Amino acid sequence: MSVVWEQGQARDWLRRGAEYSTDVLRFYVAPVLAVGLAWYGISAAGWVPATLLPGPERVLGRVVEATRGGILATHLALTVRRVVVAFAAALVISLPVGAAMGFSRGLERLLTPWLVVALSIPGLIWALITLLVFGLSELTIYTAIGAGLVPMFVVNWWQGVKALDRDLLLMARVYRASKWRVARDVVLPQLLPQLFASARYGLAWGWKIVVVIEMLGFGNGVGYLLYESYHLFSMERVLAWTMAFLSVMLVLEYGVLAPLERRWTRWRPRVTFGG
Amino acid sequence: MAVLVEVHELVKGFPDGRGGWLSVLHGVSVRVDGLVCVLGPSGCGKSTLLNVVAGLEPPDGGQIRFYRDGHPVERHEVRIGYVFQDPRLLNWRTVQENVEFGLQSLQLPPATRKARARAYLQLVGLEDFAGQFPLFLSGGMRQRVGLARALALEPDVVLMDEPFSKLDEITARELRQELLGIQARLDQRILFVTHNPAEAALLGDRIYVLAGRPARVVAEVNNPIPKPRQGEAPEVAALARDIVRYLEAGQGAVTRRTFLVSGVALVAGAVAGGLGSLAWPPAVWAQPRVDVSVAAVGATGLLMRLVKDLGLDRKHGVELNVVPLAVADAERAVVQGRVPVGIFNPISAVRALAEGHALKLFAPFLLNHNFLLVRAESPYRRVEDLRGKPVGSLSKISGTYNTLAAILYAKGLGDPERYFQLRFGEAVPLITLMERGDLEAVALFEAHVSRLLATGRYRVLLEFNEEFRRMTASDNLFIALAAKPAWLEANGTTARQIRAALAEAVGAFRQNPVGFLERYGREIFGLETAPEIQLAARRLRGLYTARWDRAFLDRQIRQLRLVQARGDFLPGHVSPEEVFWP
Repeated sequence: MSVVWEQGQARDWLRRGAEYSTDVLRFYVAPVLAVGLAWYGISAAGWVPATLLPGPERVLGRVVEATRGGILATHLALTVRRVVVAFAAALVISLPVGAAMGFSRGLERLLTPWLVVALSIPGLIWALITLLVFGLSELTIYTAIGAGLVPMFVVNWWQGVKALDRDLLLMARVYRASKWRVARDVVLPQLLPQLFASARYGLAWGWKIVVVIEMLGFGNGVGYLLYESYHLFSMERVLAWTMAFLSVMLVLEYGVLAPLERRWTRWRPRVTFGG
Repeated sequence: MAVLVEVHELVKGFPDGRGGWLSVLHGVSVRVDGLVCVLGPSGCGKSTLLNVVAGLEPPDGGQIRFYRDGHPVERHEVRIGYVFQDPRLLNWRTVQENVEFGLQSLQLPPATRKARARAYLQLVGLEDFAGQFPLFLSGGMRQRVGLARALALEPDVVLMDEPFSKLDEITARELRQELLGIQARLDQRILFVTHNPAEAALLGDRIYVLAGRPARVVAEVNNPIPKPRQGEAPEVAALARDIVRYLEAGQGAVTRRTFLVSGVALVAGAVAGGLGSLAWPPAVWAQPRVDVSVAAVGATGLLMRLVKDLGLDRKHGVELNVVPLAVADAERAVVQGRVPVGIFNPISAVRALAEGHALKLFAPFLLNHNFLLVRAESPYRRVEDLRGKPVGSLSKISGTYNTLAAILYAKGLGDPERYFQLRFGEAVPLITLMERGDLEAVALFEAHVSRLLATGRYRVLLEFNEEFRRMTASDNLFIALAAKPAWLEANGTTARQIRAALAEAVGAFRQNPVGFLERYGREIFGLETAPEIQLAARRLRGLYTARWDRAFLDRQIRQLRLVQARGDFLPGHVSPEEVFWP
């Protein structure tokens, strides 16, 4: 009973702030700089032809140029929208299915083989099917990504619901909590880790597949930019678009997902920091 | 206000999972009028008893009766608090919020609810930890939160399910004394189940000893020890020994229930991709063996099939290994060095050169066979009619797009992307869009054109080759074989042999286009019917020409220069001569 939380809290915050910045420097800034320098060194030394390994300054130059011209923003926005819309739709659609599987043994048995089938279908096949059905419309991309994501999310919700702490649900019943309170205070917080696992996995998957689908003949999006650069045999552009694309993903991960997760899991004692 | 709970002749059982019935409690009667303990070995049904009292499970027989001031009442009129063996807190809510969670059903105003939660946290000595999350507290503190949650309800009866059994003995002892203190202060009705005889002897005003399977009450002991009791007192220890004797006397066989939790692991299928393996470097044969990348669909593919099937490559002293790929992939394979030789478009070659990839065209052999198609009934007659209309084209690196662009620049119409509402895509999605009416026109190459024209739903708006011929008074070179300059230097003879084999194949095709298309048309062009084949043959007969001489080359270079001069889509600083290997 000798835990002291109140005393010296300001000092504690200061110390933690200092630790945090040192960690950021040590684990994020320094390695990125090192990789960049190594890249620069290798390309400047001329061991590898510039067409295969353009220097970081040239690649960054491309990014800056495309950012100024507005090309990058247009295409990136399209790609991000495609992933986010499909992702959100898949999350919503999969919730009732996964939850139903988690609560009903019969539905679980009925749907499991279909889930295995759905999970086994490569994302690219969905893309081909939806292209043939919907043509070059946004619906094609949404459906193709969504079709791949839904079974993954269903598994997540299903396992999440199955792993719900029944004892807590009984506790809520004993204390006569309303359905709404049970959903908000008991069920949802237990599903949050599943939600974050889904978000991470789903977004990562979505990013990968959207680029491929956009390469299949869409005249816009990052996938298209990459495809065009590939056709132009320009490693410089391929790297530039990849870099721009990566930075959006990193912003989403470290700017949105990780802080949200930190906020929603601050009740858990943690040893490390960061996402 | 005093509430009495009476468990009367309770019978309860469960399916045993093997089709049978497992009877757990048999005729158990308990009267809760103070702090009452139910003692029994683990798994004897104590928790089940509490769950039935709490209304979580229905009894199979017997009754649970509630009385307030002597009058029978329903369960829902009675407030029941429950302290579990594990704290069962919402770990994601603060201590304060956890206590408040138990108060939700009372529908108090928020301020009252908060104050009440705080008051009971104070009662269990946790007022300083109200804002803390449970997992930051010790096990004993967490159990106190559970206790505060139960007591804050100001319940008529509190059910306690071995609440101290998972704590270390020192903490447990402390909490037992606190519980005795609180019970004395509040005159709280408590049904306390435990497997610890000493605990029962210390806490219980009355102690019911459960034993046997199914469990029944084998002893009912009114605690003779006056309050306040101390855990170390010899009377308590003596009573505990008595209880153990009752227990042993009534004990039957104990069976254990095992719960098997099965998880299902699913492995998500990975997205499979890739072009398959390309054999490079190729094995050394008696004859030079050369990998050649060609477009699987289209005229190059057809020509290569002729070369192989007629044995023209061997006849000319070289063995070709045909690597069929998608149109643009076939070009990329050469640039990337995956194959030494592959089809290439001169405009693509100039662009590649501008990007720093030197390539030379050494066997130009095909003429343009690209078209702009519109629907048969559409009102458009000239390319100018399509200004601002949705038009589909193959990707930017394709000869189809580049020739279209050259024509538009030459006509002074400028960039096709701005002139039309241009949608880039692969052939099949573009055709799908056209079929759906989303596009007014589509630029395609031969592989698909004859098939579409044969349906009668389309007509040619612009034949690129004709247009080019009109503009430049010269045939438009469209496809050639390309290799890297170093390879050509080292394999000059082989390159000439390949060129000769291709030239002979072109000649053979011109002799009998219908025959060859009947044989290969289905596989290479997707031609299905006789009219489709006739259409394709008529056009291809005129298109295949191989005139590989200086004058021809000069005309091609002039054309490329013209295109460079008219628009900014081919870099002007690259010399067209650099891409030809005479």
